[in-house]
Amino acid sequence: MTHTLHRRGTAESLSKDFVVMTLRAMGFNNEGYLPKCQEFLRIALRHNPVNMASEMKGNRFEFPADDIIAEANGDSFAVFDNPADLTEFLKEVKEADLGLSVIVSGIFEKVDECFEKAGLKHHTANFSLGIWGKQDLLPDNDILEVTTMCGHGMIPANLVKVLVNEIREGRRTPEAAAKVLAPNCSCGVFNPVRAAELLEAVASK
Amino acid sequence: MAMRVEPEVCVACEACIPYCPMEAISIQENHAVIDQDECVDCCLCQHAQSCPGLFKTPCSQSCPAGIDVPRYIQFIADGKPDEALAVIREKIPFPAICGFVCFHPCEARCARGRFDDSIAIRMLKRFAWEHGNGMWKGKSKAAPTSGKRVAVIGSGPAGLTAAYYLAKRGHSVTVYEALPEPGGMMLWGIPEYRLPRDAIRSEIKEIEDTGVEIKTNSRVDSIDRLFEEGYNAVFVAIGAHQGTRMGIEGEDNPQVMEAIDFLRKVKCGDAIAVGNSVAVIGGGNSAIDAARTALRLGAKEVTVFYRRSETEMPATDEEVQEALTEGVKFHYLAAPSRISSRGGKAELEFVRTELGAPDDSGRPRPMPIKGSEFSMSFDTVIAAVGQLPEIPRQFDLAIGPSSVIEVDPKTLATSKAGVFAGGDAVTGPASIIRAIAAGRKAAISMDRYLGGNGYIHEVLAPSEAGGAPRDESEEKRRPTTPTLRVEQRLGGFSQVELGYSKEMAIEEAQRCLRCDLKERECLIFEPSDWPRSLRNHFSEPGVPHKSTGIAGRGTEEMKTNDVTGRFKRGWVGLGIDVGRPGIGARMRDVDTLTRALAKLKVQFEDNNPITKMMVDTSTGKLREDILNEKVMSCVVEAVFPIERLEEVLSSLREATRKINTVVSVCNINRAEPDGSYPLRKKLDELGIPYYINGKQNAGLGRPLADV
Repeated sequence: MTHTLHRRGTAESLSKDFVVMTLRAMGFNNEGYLPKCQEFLRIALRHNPVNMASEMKGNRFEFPADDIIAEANGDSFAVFDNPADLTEFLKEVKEADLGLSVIVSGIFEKVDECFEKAGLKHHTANFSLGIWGKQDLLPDNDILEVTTMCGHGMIPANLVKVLVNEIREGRRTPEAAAKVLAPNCSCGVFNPVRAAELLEAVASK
Repeated sequence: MAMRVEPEVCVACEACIPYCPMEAISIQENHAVIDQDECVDCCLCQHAQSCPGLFKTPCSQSCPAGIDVPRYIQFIADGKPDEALAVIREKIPFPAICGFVCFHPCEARCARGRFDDSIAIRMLKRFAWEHGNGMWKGKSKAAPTSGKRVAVIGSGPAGLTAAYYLAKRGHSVTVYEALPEPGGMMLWGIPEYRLPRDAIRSEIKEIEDTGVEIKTNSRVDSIDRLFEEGYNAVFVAIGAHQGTRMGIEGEDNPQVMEAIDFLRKVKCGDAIAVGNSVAVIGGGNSAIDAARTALRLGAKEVTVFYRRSETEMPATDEEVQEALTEGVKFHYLAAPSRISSRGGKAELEFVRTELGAPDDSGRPRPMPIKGSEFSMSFDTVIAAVGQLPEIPRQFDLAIGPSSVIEVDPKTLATSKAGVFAGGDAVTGPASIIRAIAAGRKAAISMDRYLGGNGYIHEVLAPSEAGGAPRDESEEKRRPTTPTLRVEQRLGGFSQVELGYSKEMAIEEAQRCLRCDLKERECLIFEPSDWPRSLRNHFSEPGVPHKSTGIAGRGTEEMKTNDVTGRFKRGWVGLGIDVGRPGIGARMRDVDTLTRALAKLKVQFEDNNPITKMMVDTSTGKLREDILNEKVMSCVVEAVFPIERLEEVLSSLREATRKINTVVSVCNINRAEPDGSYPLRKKLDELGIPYYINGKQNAGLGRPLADV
């Protein structure tokens, strides 16, 4: 799957956006994986994630973090907005030796740096070649930068436009607007901090 | 789960509209309407302020009249048929007729059907009518007299439904019917063995009891004259009773009959000699009705000829099955080309057909096969190839290109002030339930036109039926519908389907999953990745890859999962998200892409659901029956040797120019021991741009398959 590969934006903006996921393989290491996912989430919580989720439960904007961990059920996700927290998180995950696959999505160079500091070596990479086909169906790039932070397409472009207007009219802050969007991305890979920045930038145009 | 809006609860606040990524919601008639064709069941609209007007019951959503199906089924499950009947009556004045012959789109989308069998909703509706009493009348109210007069032309389901609700809104309603008895196609077009005349008469009597006057043998030639007589508004619901001609030489042969005309004559008791052998041309329910009626008139051999295949046949499966049980033969992919008389019989010449590209209806076009002609002789030929409305020119209404009355789809208003139209006269031959829905819509618009508020909503039963969501952990099939034995059927027109007993109905109703009470199931299971038809076909956990023998997680391969071992050195993984981000895709577009990839002999992922939907992975062709499905997105996954990168991407790029959506394209690659990626080098060499951000596996899972 390629969900987090849809994220679009400038290098500067994407440098504040790292998604980490831990995945099990059915029939291979899914037996007893839940305590490992819970541990993954507990570790994430110690390193200032801006979002986190358990696939079947929901994200931090739907449920308190403790509930997500306690009722974790499915693959797990955490989002960080800076390389330092990501690095410390990866170090601790490595130390925990969970035995589950861990994937990091972000700018290659930045992730490489974090891997190196954490003593990790990647072995597989997924490259995005962009969006092809009838691109005139897509919303403006400004909107797309926000909506693509949910790979399942669950951040509606029209809702982003409505919120941008509300920010312009002073009826909602960018942070509050990001919190309206965040619950829609059930997997919790949506980065509300980056979203607030993007929304503010669009509203100020 | 499909979404629907409860019109009477919705206040048109529009909060749900921006939440819909597919832009499927619009405000019509003061309430939100979800375009069923565009909805991909993501349920995001439910996030809008916990709107009480939004529901996600596929059965109710697919019912044109919006009957609250789970509620009445729960009442039946609780042994309360009176309440069940009252719930049905909240939306339609014809519960019996729909219980006997509705084509039940609700059952086609019933969630239980994904696990074992859909709920027998139509039979339960019939049970409610057969066992319920008049409790519904206790809460049924009529508005004070408005002083306005309405004329309804036509007494079919659309006309009588509009008349019923308009009368309850206080208007004085007169229905004009050209034929000697009211009922329209329900009475004249559907044989007695499917729909008893007593049921029709009983429901029409209820409508008359609201004050509606029905004038039979009263053909209307001029709408202007109705206005001159003092009517304030007119509803034209004249149906589509004129048989379409086959357009072949010899169809005026006296041994050729038109199906609707044939069925009407039989209903009138006319003596019709069909002889021993009968050919019926067509594939709709009228064709099946004509074929089964011919058997009852003494025909020894009846054959239905249809120019497409069984899959495209518009007749309902259960009607086809009953016809087969009774001995009707079916001959598919054959189109008549000429009729002549020979030795007292009609000689029918046919040409065999094959299916071509889809036509305007979305169905594959039947293409004649040269040199495949053959002929057969019959005593009678019945043409059932379609019907058109007979719209008197004096009505002076705008007529559309399909020879139907043109209306404003929101209000059903015609080109003439004060005149509304609905039912088959507007849509062409459709169904009773669609005609009933049109009648409701017309009543709302016409009441508003006459100064009312268009409020026809009624609560005739307790608004909460109770109950709880059920799971489908235990397979439980629907009961076989009891029917008359074949030898009891063919001697007359006795009702073939027998009703459910109380025990059968309660047991069947208890199979309902109560989707209306389930919360966010769709989001939990990521429906956006799954076409509706395969929503329950999740990837098969633990299925080992053919190539590596290592178990993977189905479609999770592209998550760079290090235990699958799928990504061999020297190979590239290809993941294409069709419809992403947030545009949605038709499976027809996916088919275009998979076919293009198959030509380059990529290896499609075994466990991917799109691969499972292919008729043949060597062609990439997807199953015909899903091509019109729409999904939020879906992922095609494949692998190929890196040497073929340019060729594959070039072909894919070309194919994406032919589709009506977007595709996010990703390539995956295993690192060399030094951490470099041959794919990145190759992309650089070829000048193919890629993004600076992507996914990398941190190498923490184990073991890494070494392949």
